[in-house]
Amino acid sequence: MRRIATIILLAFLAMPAWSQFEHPDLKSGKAVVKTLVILPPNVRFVKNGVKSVEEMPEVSRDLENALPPLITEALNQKHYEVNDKAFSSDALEKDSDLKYAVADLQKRFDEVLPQMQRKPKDVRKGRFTLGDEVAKLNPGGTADAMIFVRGFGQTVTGGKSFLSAMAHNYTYSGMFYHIAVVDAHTGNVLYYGVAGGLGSHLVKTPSAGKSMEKFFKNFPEGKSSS
Amino acid sequence: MRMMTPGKRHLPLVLWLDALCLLIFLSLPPGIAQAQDPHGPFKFTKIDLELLQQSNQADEEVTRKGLVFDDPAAAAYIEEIGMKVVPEAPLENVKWRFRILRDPEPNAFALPNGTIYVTSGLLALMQNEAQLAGTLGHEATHVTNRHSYLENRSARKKIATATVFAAIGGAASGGNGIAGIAIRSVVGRIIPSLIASTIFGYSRELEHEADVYGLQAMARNNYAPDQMGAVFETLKSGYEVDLAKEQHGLYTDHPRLDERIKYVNEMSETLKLQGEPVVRAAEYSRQMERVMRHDISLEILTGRARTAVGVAKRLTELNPDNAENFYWLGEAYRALGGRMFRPQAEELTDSAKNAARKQLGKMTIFEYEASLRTTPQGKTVWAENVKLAEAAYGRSLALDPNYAKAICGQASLYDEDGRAAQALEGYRKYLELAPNAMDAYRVKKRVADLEKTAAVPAPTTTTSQN
Repeated sequence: MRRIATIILLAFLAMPAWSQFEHPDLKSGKAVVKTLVILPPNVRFVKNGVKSVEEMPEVSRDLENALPPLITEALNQKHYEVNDKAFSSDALEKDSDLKYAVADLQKRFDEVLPQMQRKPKDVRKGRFTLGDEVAKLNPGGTADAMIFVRGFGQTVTGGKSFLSAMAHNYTYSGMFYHIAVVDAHTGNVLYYGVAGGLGSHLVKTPSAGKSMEKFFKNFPEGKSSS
Repeated sequence: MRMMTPGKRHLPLVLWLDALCLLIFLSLPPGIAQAQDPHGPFKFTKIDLELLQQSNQADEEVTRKGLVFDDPAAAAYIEEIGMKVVPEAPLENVKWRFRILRDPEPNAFALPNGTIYVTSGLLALMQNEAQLAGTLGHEATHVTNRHSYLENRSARKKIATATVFAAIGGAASGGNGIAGIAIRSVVGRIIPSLIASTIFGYSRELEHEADVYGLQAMARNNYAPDQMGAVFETLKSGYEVDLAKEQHGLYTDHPRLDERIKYVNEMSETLKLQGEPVVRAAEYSRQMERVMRHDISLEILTGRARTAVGVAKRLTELNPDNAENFYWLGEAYRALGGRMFRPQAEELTDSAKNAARKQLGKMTIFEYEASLRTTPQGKTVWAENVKLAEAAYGRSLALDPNYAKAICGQASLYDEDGRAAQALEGYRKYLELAPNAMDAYRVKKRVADLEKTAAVPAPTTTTSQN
């Protein structure tokens, strides 16, 4: 019975992209999105071994750097304009006020994220917002939406896999991305979902690109189709 | 003839697995299996060097992510005090650095590479230079005595053992009888828990050692050692309602605060100083003024409005001629919303804390804040806080009538309080004074929304608004 439950759970977890949840204003066309900016993604990747769980900062940073162009590509295919340079490391280094404002907004997102994870369907009710403070990072109102990305992943060593299997506490390698598209004027969460899945291959950049494409597959078409 | 019970049938397997476990444990590399004497010459193993590299990377990460507060004057001051309490002799693979972490939670920590982080939250709560010296001395001890390396080695060894025991628990539970479950429970669950507890116990010893060395470092520099206990008292009293469930016993990495205050105070009485004890409260406050102001914004951001009010009040007392300090007091009162500055007795009961925890577990910070204002009591408290905020903004504007931030803060207060006309007037004035401010777009948008909804006509003369 336990094995069957595990298999069902695995099949569910291994789905490359989970459901996405859309704000009613986005669905109805009331919230018009043409241009998006990407906030620096935060990725945490660890190596889960027998002796410890070690941070893998290089892998995390590589993924953080790889994600904005991959998201841009996925959204360009849907005819959106994406600015992935507005909050680049260079831009933030030049302006400490901007750097702090970005860090504070990221913190705010991290506070709202657990509730979105808990009840993602509430995005469809328009429940989640980061507040209109987001507009601080939208000088001139040039962007319609902001993209927040949080990645969590691990690679499990052979020894850990073996021992955890012995303990019936199966541990797997994988990579998951929580992605939210937030209205850059009001702070409302317009679109949220999880991309990625189980498997060590998902850490690699091409797989991350595929995860992004799949994630935005159901995102409404951009301006050329409107 | 002996009766065969299900439990006895499993015994040989458990013994065999125990032997296997012992073998694995003994075959661990010596660097892992045996912690080195922290006071002797320290030999770096591969694992230590990996940790060192990770520390350097962590330093880069926090800077890159905007988590370090760049204030050269405050940083130089902290470094000056820090360098007094660290050992003079150079240490292998240690470069002393002192940084302010943009975090409202009062805390300090040291990385094994010698970088000591003190959060803005702690700096805002501490009262004087002696307290800062004590904190830095404590953290420097963790670096000097290589505590991170020792703890890492110890943890790795224990986690490995716990993983093996858990696996044995799983394998030994092949039988589904009661005995099988019992064996799995004992071997797989209880033993790993006991091992994990020794990890935290070990860490508490190191914390005690750091307290003792920190006190000695204070005394060497003539800093009043009783100020270390005062820091713990400050942490204990705090402004916020502590919603964290109290953790006693094994699962705490620091010795309990009361216990700590007791032994630190006892020890500080026995320490001999060379002259008059140094405290330097005024100098500390002067140097930390910018840090405190910055911390208020972080306290507000994270829903710690009571602390924000506490820090802002202190700032206005320290420097009553500064318009910015009163602006922050206004912001802090506005953020208090439906809460009173001092927690009420009914908020401190276990049931109230449980209810608050439950609400926070289900709500976003915005929803929680809004829910506080909807109760009858919350509405009354909000009205009081509006008056206090208004007075603070007013004082700020009396000191500097064109202080744009205070004008905007006051307008936001009116906006939240439903006074659209006054809010519009303030927002418009703000946009005239600071047309290129970072939040100018947000304010323009708000003006447009208010003009629509409140039917307040736009002024005939064109201002900077769209």
